[in-house]
Amino acid sequence: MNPSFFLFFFNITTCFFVSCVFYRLYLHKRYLFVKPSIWVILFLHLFLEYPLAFFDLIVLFTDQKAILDCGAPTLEEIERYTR
Amino acid sequence: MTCILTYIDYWHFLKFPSHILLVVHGVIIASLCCSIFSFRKTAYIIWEKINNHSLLSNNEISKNLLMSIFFLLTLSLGIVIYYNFNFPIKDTTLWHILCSSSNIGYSASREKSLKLLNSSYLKYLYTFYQNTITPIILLSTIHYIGMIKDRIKIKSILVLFFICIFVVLTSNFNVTKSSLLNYTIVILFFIVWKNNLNIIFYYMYFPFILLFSIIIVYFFISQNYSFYKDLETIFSRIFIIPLKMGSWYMHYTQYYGMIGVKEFPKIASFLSMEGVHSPNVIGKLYGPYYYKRFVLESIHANASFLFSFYRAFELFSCLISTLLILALDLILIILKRLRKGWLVIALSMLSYQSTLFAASSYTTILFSGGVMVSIFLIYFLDQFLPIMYSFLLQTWQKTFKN
Repeated sequence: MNPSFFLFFFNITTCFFVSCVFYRLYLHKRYLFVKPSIWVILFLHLFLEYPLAFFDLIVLFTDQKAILDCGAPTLEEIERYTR
Repeated sequence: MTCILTYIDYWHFLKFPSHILLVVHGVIIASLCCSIFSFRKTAYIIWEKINNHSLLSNNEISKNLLMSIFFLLTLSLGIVIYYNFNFPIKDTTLWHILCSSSNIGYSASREKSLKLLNSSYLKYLYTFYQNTITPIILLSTIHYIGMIKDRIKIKSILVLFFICIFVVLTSNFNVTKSSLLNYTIVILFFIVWKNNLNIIFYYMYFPFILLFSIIIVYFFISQNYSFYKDLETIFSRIFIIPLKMGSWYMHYTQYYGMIGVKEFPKIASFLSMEGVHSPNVIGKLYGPYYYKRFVLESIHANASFLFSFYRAFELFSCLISTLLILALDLILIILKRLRKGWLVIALSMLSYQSTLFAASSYTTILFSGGVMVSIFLIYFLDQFLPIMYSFLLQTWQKTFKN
């Protein structure tokens, strides 16, 4: 079974939940944005969490067979290539 | 296309793919939940200070800002002279781009201009100039010009404008497009903070944004890149590469195992252990496969601190990363002591530096990236520079009287 659909659904739901929290903070608790941790979490959310969801979307809408034929490189393959 | 997708298809690429979900989502949700409930009172006091319009007279702030700009400019001049004393200006990438028509050896010259400098002291000093001093000078200048808008002083605005061009050019001898973009981002953050986080663009800031855009476009054209390709590269560097690099770290750790404190060479050497420079090791291993060509020996495959901690402690890293994100709020203790004018600059710097956490290690951003250094520098400029100035002025006057 293709796991990408479930992964995409899980990741995008989590992203949406976190985005909603940030939006609520912006509307009602804007003073919390003076905290560096809030900004760090916000950018981790934008630059890591969302791309993770979109990685699944790309895999979901592309030819799975072609990807698997190309294959994920094993460590031995990487070492052989670099030598 | 398929080989690019190989790394994106992390479910088949990684041995334990669920770990990436735990590291990314787990840390973000846990730290967000804790962060909402910590340091609320201090955050509120600082927010009130930003919104209070009658804390200091404009004259007092503008005097302090002008003093700081000239203090930082003197420091910059010293650094530039010292840098050019050690590394001739004709060998820099900036010189190659501005004065030479060919762009042969551009990457190598870029590496030589900063990463491969003989003196590590000079390397750190120049990074400090690039990441900390230049943005603070730019923000102070914009803040100052914003304050003197009532009584137009064209001459001083022109002088300050040339100071800005000087610091932007001299802080980019190695020509990193990203640092030019970062200066634009930090200015945008400043505008947002000046308007209490409401995104309103004042007409007077547009020339600055336009200037940076022209410089960036000029560098793109001079390197014979197509606009579409550059746009694709920027998009990829922001949204794809940080996570992709992270998947390399996870892949490597899941096959070779965690390395503990050896991941942090300085701590390892303190504990009499041999440290591992993971960005270089992983870059050399996965880089050729990804780029389909040989990579430079000095390659740095930087990934977010979430992944470098995973390389060190595997899943235990989730707890450590969460605690370290929360520890950043200790900076509020210093922010609370800053006066309003400098508070906005400090917050703009912090907001911009927070973007770096998605693609670099924690200690790098804290020290080389300039989070701690810029906060302490701003604290110094705000609290100690006026005292130093008045002390020097008194001494000068006493000497002349005698």
